Amino acid sequence: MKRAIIALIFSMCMVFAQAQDSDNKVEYTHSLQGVSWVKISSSATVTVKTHNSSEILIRSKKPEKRPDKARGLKAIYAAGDDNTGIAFYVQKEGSDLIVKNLKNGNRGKVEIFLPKGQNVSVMSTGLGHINISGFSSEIEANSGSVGRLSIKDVTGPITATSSTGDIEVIFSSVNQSSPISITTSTADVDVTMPANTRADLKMTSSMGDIYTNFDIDLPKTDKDGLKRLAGGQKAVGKINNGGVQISLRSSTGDIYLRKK
Amino acid sequence: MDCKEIEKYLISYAEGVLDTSLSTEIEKHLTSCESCRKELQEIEFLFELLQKDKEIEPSEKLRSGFYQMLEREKQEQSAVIPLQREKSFSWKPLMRIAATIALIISGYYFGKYQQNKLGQEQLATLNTEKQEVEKTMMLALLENESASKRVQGVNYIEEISDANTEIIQALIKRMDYDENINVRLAAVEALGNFSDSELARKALINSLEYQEVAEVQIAIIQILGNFKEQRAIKPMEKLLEKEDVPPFVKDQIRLQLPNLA
Repeated sequence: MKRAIIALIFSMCMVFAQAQDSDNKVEYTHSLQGVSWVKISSSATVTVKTHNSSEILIRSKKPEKRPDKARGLKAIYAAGDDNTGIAFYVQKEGSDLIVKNLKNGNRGKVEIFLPKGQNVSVMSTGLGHINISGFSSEIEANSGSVGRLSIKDVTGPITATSSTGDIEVIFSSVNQSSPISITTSTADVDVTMPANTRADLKMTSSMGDIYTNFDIDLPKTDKDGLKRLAGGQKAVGKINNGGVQISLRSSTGDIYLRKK
Repeated sequence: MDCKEIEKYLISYAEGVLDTSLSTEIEKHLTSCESCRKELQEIEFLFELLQKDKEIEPSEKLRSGFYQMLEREKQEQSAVIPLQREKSFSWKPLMRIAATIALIISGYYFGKYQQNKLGQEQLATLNTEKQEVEKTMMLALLENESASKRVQGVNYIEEISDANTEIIQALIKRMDYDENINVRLAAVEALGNFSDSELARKALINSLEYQEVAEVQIAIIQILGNFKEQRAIKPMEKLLEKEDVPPFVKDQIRLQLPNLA
């Protein structure tokens, strides 16, 4: 009996928690028919994941209660028109779907879900970070001036850029069809990929160091068990007899290339 | 979609790899647009050329034709021999047959030789046409909407040594206007291979003045340093005076300036 009561209370808590959770969230979906690229721009931190539906799902925080003074007025945003009712601008332009997050800061934190095979471009226009995971399609990401960039469980092709935020990329496998290029000004680039990945590597750091535990014939010094390849220069070489072109660059940061 | 956008998809459309909604949209456009239709025809023609571009072998018809004739000859022979079967053995028919066979064989080889010659000429024109097609496709890659494909296009150019003005101009356009920094950088590096080209040198010097991204600035500074390009001294000194240029970019300039002076 006692156990049953505890179980009952527990499940009620769960239901309550879930209800509260969904109370704070608001969702918006849009068709992706005829869309070859989804182009997301956000000044707040944005997390892009995959789901099984063929539509785009934007899950954002419920807008806080509007002040009484705003009654009869419409909120306007610098980035564009709110045509979704959740402070997002969503518009199909040609074969692109333009998705703009109109809020910034913590209030604008958002999760976006897309099909696994959808090409996606994500750009940070403010202080936010970018997290992307699960895609087997092409990814373009630019984390703006200070944002960090985390891309996980992907296959590429990828072109990614940051200015001062670290870039971390973890490949589940590496698509051989077209090049991967990752660039940052002052941050580190940290890339992990399967040990059997075939690639033509080009790693450049003007003032930082390059570390890897892949077999490339170059001079070595130790740091964390990774080989030190070159200081302030280029490391060019093939791994596993060569394959897709992978270019990693940092001006003043270090480059890390790890085996999975 | 307008013509410019349609154009981007035409190659994929011709390959038949587009999804249905996009290809119906393109088909709709094609019915109303003469110029895009022409463009598509050209692309399809190029694909055809590429497919035809195989070693040319003597046709099967020639070979089977020979054997048919031989067979016919044999039958005639068997039809003739009984009539000729008289008392004395005659070399005459045998000689005739031998002469016929020799004629057929030499005819076969002559035909083969002729066709080979023709084939080689065709192959040569096809090869130049193929190079043209490759160039066209490479330039098309540079306009692809996928940044990774544009990087690929730039990397292809790095591999060919005899790039012409058109190709160098396409690279300069990527360096100066591409929205993706990775593409811009790849273009800068590719231009770094054309130290002989005045066009490339000038474009790199000009670009130094208005590139705002640190990595691109550094890549250009290093290449102009390698080129020992003295005309770059002035713009580099200008950058040293600018306040919004990051200190590590200025360090690179200070590193390269002694090479130029």
